[in-house]
Amino acid sequence: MDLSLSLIIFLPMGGMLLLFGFGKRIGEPGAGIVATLAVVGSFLIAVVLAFDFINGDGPAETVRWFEWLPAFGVEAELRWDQLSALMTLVVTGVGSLIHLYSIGYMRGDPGFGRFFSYLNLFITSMLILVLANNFALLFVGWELVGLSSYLLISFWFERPIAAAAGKKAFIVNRVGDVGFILALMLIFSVFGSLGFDTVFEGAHRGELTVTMATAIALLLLVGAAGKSAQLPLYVWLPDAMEGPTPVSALIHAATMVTAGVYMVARTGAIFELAPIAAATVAVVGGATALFAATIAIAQRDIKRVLAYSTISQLGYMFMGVGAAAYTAGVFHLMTHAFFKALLFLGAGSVIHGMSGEQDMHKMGGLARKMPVTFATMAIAWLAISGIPPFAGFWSKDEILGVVFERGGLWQVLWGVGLVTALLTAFYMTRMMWLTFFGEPRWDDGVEPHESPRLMTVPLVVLAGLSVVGGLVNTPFKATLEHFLDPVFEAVHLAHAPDGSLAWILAAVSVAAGIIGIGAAILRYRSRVPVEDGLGWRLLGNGYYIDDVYAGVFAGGGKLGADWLAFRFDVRGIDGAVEGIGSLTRKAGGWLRPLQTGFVRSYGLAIIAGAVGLLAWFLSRGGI
Amino acid sequence: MVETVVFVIFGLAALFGAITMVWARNPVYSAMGLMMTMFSIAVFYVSNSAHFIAVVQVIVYAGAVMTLFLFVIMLIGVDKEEDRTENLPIQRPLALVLILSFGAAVVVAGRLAWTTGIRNPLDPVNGTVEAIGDELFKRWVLPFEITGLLLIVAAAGAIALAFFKDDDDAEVDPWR
Amino acid sequence: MNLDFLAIAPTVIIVTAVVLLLMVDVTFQMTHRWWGIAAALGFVGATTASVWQWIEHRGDDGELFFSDMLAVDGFSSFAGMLVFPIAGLGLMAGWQLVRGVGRRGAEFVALSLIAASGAHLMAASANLIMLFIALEVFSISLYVLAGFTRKGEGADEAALKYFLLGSLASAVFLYGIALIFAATGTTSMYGAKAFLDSTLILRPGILLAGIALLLVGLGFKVSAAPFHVWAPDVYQGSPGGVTGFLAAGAKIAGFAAMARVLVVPLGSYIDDWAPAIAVMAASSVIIGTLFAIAQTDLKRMLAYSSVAHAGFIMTALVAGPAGIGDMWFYVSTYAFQVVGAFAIAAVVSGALTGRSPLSDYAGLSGRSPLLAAAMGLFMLSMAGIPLTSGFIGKAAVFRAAIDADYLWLVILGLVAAVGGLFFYLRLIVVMYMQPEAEDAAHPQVRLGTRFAVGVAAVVTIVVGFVPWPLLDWVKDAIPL
Repeated sequence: MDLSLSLIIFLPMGGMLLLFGFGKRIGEPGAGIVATLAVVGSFLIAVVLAFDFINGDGPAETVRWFEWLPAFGVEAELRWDQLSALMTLVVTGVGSLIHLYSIGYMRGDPGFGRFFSYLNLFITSMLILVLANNFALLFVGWELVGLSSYLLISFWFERPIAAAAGKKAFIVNRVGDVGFILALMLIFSVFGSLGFDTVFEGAHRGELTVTMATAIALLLLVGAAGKSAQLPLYVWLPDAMEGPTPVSALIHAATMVTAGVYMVARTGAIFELAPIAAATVAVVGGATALFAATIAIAQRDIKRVLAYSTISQLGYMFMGVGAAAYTAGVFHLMTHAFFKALLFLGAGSVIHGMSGEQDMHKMGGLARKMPVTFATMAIAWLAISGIPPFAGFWSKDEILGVVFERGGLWQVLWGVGLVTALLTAFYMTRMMWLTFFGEPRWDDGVEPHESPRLMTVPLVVLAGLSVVGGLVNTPFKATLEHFLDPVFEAVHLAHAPDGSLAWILAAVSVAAGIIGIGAAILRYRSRVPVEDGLGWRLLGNGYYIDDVYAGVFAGGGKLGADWLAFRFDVRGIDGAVEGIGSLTRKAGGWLRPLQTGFVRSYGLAIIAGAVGLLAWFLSRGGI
Repeated sequence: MVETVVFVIFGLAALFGAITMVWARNPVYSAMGLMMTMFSIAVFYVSNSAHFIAVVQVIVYAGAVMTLFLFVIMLIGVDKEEDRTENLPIQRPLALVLILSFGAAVVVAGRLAWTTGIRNPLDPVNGTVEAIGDELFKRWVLPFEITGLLLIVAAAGAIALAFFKDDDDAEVDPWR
Repeated sequence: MNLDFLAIAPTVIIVTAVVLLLMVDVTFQMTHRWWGIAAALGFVGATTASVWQWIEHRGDDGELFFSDMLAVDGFSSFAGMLVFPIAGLGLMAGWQLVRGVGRRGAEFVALSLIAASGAHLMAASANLIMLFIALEVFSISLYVLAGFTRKGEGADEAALKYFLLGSLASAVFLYGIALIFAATGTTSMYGAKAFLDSTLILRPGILLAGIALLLVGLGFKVSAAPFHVWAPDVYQGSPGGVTGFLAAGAKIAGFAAMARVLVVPLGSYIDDWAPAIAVMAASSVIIGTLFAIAQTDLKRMLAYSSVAHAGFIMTALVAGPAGIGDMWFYVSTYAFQVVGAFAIAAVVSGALTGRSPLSDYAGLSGRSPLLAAAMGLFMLSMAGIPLTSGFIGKAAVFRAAIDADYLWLVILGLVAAVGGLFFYLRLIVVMYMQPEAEDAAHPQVRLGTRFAVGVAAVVTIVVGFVPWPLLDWVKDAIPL
């Protein structure tokens, strides 16, 4: 157990190191094969290890590497329970497919080896994140995924827009990290430890006051919102689409962005004690879901549609975990990983076939040219629109059901979720229609063609998963719920309604999906309407939130930095004229520069400090 | 009583010398101001029965060091007036305020309580050469030796900085 | 009278090496290799002597020598084990400079040796007068070293600014010693401790004023705000081959002296000085971080970052004796990072020049992947990214402060640490993601630099992964 569990992490880590050192020498496609094999190996090990759990009798296990930070009661320790197993399977499973796909997608890129070493670095980091048995190691993984995401977004760093996007992702995530790390400090100051077991057991024994729990939970939410692109920290994700498409699929759709959801689910014991914070999570989720869905309607860039759709779907997951439906949230995380990865890979395939074109207004009629891509994406489209029996229906429906069941103001949230579902169906249909149906609107010289086998095979596999993935947790047979039960044993879980209410709710949400699809088909069936009103522009630009942020924060920050630099520091040793300057070597010149130098200002600062210290100490001296 | 009077007179003289040193436009006056301060301090040594130190103070500082200073000043030229325009407007008032508060703070602290610690202040001080030698080479031998190290630093540093020549660079390769 | 030479063995070995070097060089006109051998003998010998002292005196087995002038304990021997290798690495990395200043190189080597010895003596002094002399030995050597090239842009200016402000700080420090003497009647730290522990002083104004003035001098040495004003100009102006040791040595020596002075004689006044230290720490962290963001010169940026680091280290000191080990942990890991970083700066921007604009580093990963990787590592470590020694160091000092109930300081430090990521990562971005200038030279990395950077990188990584041996050791690096 020890070794095999560690191997899950070490395989991609080894791949990463190997490719980092010799990626160029191994070349194409060797580097891709090495990286893919490493992740597939991890996946297989994870499958074998997870077998006990599937049989329903595997206890949670821990693997201790070494004593890491004794002062914090922290060991480098892995945890293998049902939740981490599920996350590991999703990460490595979807990860392997995307690795495979990337071999085809990245063909001919000069940074081929580098790309795969980054991908493996990401898988390693994500595995550390989901397998950690304490907050410190979780944070290590958290930071590392941030780092690898940053590297991958700005992979084509010679494009300034990509470099800027990487920077933006980085900065926004830092904001989230502040919240996270403050939460860790509070946790440590309460429990004197950062180990999951100690903390959660302590929380159950009531060592946590409600105020403290709320503070910790809200700070954790800040961290989660940063990583999972929730309001108001979502702004980095749409720009992150500047990275290569497989990266968007892997990191910014299927895995990394779900880290926030995972974290909230993992720390359910704390959120349980802080109902206000939990409700805040749900409200943030709901608001984000609706907000992003409206923006997605008006995007012209196929990847940006998917980006906003991801934000919106992540909002659903937050709504679920906020409503204490951890299983439902994690379930949606899983199904979403399947169909969203599929959508992104499909979009990548389209972009590949269209020679880099991303504007949907210049596509159309691709269904016949790219049959496999079309067929698989159609499945994902139905899945995300919530049409039974595809995967998305089951998980979305469960979240909405739980939220409705909680009654009171939660039902408002349910309404928001329902509207979002309708909008989702609408914009996905719009995307499908603009891309695959209607008259071809291609630019001259574009010759659409189906992508190579290497890229379509992962699509087919993911399409299969998008069909059947939802069946692991249906109201008729809640396999996943039983599977995850041991993890959430101690936490009070909210449940979906049953009986006739369940049927009614399901019917309503399916109806919403169908209405959305129908409306979109009606609108786009015959021609592409001109979408250029004030409203469209407002939505298309994401309510101009980006510009507001840029103006307020970036502008302000730069102003501050400039002010500091020019006001207090610019002279430095440039002060050749007024400062000491470079001492002239003629003896006669020695004294003059000394006396007009800014050294006296420095001296003044020192004396000021001395007076300050004296004042403090004398105030303690009985005056 | 006599001691107090002496202290007040020479304390003022030391202060006056120090201010002159900083204030004077002519470097020679500055040097003289410094000498006045040194001399006044020597008087304090005497009033504390440290005669030997007082003599050393006069001979070494007022004698040797000041002479050296004056040589340098003469070499540079006494007629060089310094430029006193102040381009940072708040520098001087701020400096004055700060230095006054610094002084005030120390004075206030001094008024609070003088705890004189382990040694009885009424013990007679033995300022003879023998006593100083005894102290210096027994109790204080280590600091004394380390002061020697300080002299090496001074010598080596002075040599290193003074031997600098403009063409002193890698092309003059002394190491084959 | 008991002259125990083993107690001053490190100093004696260093001084022997210096005398040998200067005498033999004058007589026989040796090549720079012989200077290197003399320096190596000195540093290796002194390190060995410190290790021996460590084995003999670590933990509770400290002793006082030379009528209470010198303490040989875990604290001083740890400082020796740290400062001599660091000085050696710094000198190796700056060897280019030694070779570039003609015959004066011998003096450079000698001054480096003496400075290291002065730093060690600062950590070992058990008497305030002794401490002052050691501080002067250390500082004056550094003043000369900072201006050694004379013609490098800003070297003269750096040295002179350093000297003038340093003299001011030393004078204030000396005034503080006088006031402490006035309050306690002794300059011996242990004598003062005995007196202060056994005497209740009702209105200890003069003593407190003395503490304030001592803190000015020591704060200057470690470049804590608001006494940091010299650091940016001096770091930037002094030649590249010196800055590493200048930065690391000043931190080691300054914090050693600060810790011993605060904890030993003034230990019973912790309630008075801990808040002052906390405020100094907070302002250092804030000022260092804010100003570092605005820099465009690497060495200047590292100078402000060192101000911030001084703040982090002081965060450990608010815990009093309990924080000494954490302070040492941070200081030792930081010393290696900073020596390594400046060694690389000396290669890329030149060992004889002062300035090191960030544009020098554009596309370094293409020209010299290993240098860029090592530099990236040091930056990540300074930023406190997990799995580097810097992360453990921050964790250690923050824990010490939490235990001492300074949660606000910790929160501030955390926020600043996150803010600090900006400028550390900016360098990484510059190195990896900006195209190099067309005329950019491929840096020549000499053996000495390779060794220095390699050692620093290995220490940074190893301590980041397996910190507990060092964490155990620093528990014994406590003053007598």
